[in-house]
Amino acid sequence: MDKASQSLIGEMSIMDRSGHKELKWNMDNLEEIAVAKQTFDTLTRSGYSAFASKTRAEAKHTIREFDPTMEEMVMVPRTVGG
Amino acid sequence: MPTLNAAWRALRRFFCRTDAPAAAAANQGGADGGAPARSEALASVPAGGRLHGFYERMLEQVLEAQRNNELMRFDEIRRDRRAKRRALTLLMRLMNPEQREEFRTFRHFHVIGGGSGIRYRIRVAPFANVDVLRHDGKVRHRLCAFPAGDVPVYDVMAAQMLHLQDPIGEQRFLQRANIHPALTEERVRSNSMWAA
Repeated sequence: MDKASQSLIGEMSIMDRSGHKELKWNMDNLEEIAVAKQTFDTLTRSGYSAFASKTRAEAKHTIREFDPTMEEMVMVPRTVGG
Repeated sequence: MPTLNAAWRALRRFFCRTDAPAAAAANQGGADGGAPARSEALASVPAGGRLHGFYERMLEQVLEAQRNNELMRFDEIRRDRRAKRRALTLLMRLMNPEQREEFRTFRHFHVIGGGSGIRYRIRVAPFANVDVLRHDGKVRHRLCAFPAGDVPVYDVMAAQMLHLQDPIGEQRFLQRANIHPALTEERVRSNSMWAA
């Protein structure tokens, strides 16, 4: 059985030229979840990859769908070869 | 700034040239004692005053433009530094304790490929900074792939780490990365120092 999440706050770090922007949501607040989901969908449509984990300490893995129970999420712009 | 300076020099040359005949006429009038030449020279004095005023205003504007440029440059440097700091905070948060320690000591860290099990070394460098390692630890080749957009170098490293340690992400990263020959250790060190 999965351990219950210690925190009820999810955090999305969106990489950009300012370092990154942060978007937080309360896992009990449907409005905040909707805003986070919309941001997630917009970014993934524009080519961002999403990595997330249930707890902050865990290693991140790729996710395709927004999961509000993820405690930490990192949005990475599309990768280009150099 | 060089454009402004060039424009300013051109304006000064132009006005100096237009002032020269009047001054010459004044001198000549003085030598001949001719009244018409003297009166022409005197008539040019208010014009000279106007030119002087124009010169002052232009100088003020140029100095102000220089000050604004300097301020913008400092602002940009401050923004870059702040972005770098934020990116470093994110990278440190995403690394595991061993990677963090290794990064603090050597300015690079290792990642095990999520799908392949291959060992990668991610260095602080702006270009082709992912070393693909052999079993004996020597560099087989380097990879160059980074997130689009002008993201700070530590965000680039964080993105590379996230992709490589994830099975799906590793495949995707390897498909997009360009392969470069390995560098000697001296060149690796000098490149890292340059980027730091």
